[in-house]
Amino acid sequence: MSQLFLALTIGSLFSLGTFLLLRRDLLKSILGVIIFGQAANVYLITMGGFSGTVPVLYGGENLVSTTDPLVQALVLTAIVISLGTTSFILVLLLRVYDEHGTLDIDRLWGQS
Amino acid sequence: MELNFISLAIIVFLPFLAAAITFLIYPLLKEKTAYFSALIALTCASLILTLFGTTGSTSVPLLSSLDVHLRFYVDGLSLLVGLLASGMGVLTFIYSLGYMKNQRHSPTYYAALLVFMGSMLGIIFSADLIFIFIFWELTSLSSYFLIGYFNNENSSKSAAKKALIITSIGGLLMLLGFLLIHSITGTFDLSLLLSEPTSVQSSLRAHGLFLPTLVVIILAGASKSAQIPFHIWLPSAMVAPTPVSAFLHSAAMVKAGVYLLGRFHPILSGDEWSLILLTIGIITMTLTALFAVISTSIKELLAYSTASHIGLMLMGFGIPITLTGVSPSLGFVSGSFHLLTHALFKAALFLIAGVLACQLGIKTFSDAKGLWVKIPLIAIFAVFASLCMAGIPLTSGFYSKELLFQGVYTLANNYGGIWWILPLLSIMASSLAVVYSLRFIMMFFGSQPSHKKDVQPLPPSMVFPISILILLSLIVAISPSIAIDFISHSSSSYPPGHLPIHIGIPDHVTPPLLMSLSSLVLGVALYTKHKQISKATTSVLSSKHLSIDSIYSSIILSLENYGLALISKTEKTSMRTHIIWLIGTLGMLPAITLLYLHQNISISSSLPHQPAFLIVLLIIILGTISVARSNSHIMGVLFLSIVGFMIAVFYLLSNAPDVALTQLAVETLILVIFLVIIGKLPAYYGEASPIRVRLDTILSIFIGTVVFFAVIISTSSFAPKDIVAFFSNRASYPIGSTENIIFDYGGGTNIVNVILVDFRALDTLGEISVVALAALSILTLLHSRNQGGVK
Repeated sequence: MSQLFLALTIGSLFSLGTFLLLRRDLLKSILGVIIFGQAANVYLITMGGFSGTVPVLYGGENLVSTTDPLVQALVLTAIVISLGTTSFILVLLLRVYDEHGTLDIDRLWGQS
Repeated sequence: MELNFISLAIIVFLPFLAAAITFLIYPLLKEKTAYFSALIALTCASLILTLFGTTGSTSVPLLSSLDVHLRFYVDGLSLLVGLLASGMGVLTFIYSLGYMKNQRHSPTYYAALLVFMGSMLGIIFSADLIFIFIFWELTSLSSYFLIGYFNNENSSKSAAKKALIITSIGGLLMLLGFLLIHSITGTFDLSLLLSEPTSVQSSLRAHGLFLPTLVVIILAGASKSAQIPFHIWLPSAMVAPTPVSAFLHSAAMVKAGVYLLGRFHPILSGDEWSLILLTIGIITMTLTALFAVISTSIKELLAYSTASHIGLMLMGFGIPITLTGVSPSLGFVSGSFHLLTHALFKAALFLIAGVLACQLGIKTFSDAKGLWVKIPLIAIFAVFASLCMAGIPLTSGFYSKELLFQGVYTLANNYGGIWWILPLLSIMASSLAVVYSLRFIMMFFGSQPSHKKDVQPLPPSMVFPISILILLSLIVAISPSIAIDFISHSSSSYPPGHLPIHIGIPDHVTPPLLMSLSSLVLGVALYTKHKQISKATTSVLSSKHLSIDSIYSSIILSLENYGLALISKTEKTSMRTHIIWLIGTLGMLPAITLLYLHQNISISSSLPHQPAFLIVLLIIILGTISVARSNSHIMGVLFLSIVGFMIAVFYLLSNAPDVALTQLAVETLILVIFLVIIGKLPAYYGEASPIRVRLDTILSIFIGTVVFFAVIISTSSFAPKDIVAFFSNRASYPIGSTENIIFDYGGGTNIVNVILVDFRALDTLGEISVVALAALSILTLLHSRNQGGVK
């Protein structure tokens, strides 16, 4: 059941991300990009398999099995990088509005 | 004798170092930089002289695990060409001082010339095929800068581009040839290949790769050496400053192709080799000599004549080693000998043309008449060098041409039949050489000086290099055997010939001497009619179908047009179209894979069932739908935030507390940034049209379905993860072990943290750099607001 639900969630995240990316409003496109990033992260964590315990060791003893720590490290890096790119993209959005006076993609394209 | 690796490394890399230094010292030395560069060239030349008489190879491993070595190889041929390149470098730099007086001086000019000289020496002394290729392309690149030196003119630009395109196509062909050789022999080591040339050839033949290798290597050499049909770049390249032409286009760069062929002569020579080289050589030698006869500009004549003389060298290399009656190395020696004599007289002629252009403003033959009166010393030099070019008996050009005549005569005598066309065409080409040499000489004679302006005294820095070159030509003319001994040494890879190559003042009439004399007589006779010849030939050649130049331009033009058409088809459309194509393709690829993956899609139970999951995932889906449906910016952002926080909860449930913490912090930050910015943005625009919405929905559902099945399949079975065991064993520290704790163990308890700061610390460094870079860019973007061209 979990698998089905996860597939459904990741599928709808990608689907709605695509839909948002194609919107006329530039801000909505950016929301689509962010959702893509979230969906990819969720997918990565899912590939860890959810089996095992929290990947923390106590007192140097090697516990029997922890969940996959590598995907977590990857996702952690990805989240931090997404903070950088998202804030950059938002300031870029601000500048686009400053320079062109609109965030309507159709009009932006027509201008250039 | 053991080669000195250090001195070879200095010879090749000192010019590159000096080129970098040029930019530093130019503000101090100004035009005296020419002396600095000349000193560098002189150092290289004297180091090469110390190697005189040595043969062998030396190497130092650079990356031994990848079998990358810095290898050098030295023999007579490389010493000869290396000495020419560095010696001509000295003279060119000295000459540049005078020539560049009235032109724009710049450190780039000297740096490019130094880089060129270094790469030329690199081609010559490297024994690693990959290094040869790199240096080969570097000569093309530096020649591009030097031809385009006056780059405010369109003609310079297109000429530089033409030379670059043609010679780098040749370079790529050469790389292909090297890779073919490597695929059979498994080595890039030239000295290894040259130590067993016959077995390399037979194994190439055994795999059927001999002919392809041969053809691409010859084409590479021909393109660099401006042989037909690649000859078109050389006359165009004459827009370069004259010292550059003298250096690159007579003594060094065009000789790189000859050198390459000379280098591979022992490995590739055979019937096919001879046939191809003799054909290219004789066609180029004859046709370009004709082009030289009809040229109107002085430098163009010299350029065509260079191509013609290189054709002669290639013919020399093409003469089979199996001829009876002559030494087996006759062809090789004649080619190398002509390489030397030609470089000496042609460079002198180019420098003289530079004097005419720079001091008198004469660039075409129609301007030039009776220059004897103005510049008597230069006139004497010019006459002597032209006589060498024409191959008049007892000049340096005569002896090298005699050897070739002897070769082609013996060849025709041996094989008979159609081969007699070679001596005949050689006589024809030589007589044309006499014609254009006479044209050059006659500039200095004539009734009245066409130039009224008084001539300023020539700067000694211009006269000196010319006189050195003339002196050297004179030495070769008086005692050709010195040069021959030097060059015979380079053909040591052949068994010593039974018949020594004899050269000297002819004491009895031989067929080659008769050939020389008849071409001389024919040439003088043709000169009297040369106006008519020019007219007739020009009218034939002006037809567009015959011109390789126009074929080249139409190819380049159609490529440019195709590129522009492609851009306007793909780039001028809207961002929407870009995204649709990109995402559509991204979706199609896994969709096709899924269709062909005949696999039972099973809902497996390997993922644990947790009721809390279902609630969290449901909220995520609903939240995302609300983001898509929201009709104001603020609502969209708030719903997105809800989704983000719910994903943090999801991470928490997936036993990933660190990720969840990070997600919470980042979501909070992004929400704050959104809220700061959103007040400065316009209101929501709404949808464009219902049709568009429907179309986008279809694409979105398609993508969603593909991802859904991808997730189902990829989570249906998990491979055992050794990596998990690795990290959980290594993240901490060993108990009571003497192993290398520092290098092999993390010494922490939180595995994810240990991965981030220890095992994958470099990734984390990259991540931090991305964030720092983003912060810097944001600062720049905010700072540059309302500056510059804001509407």
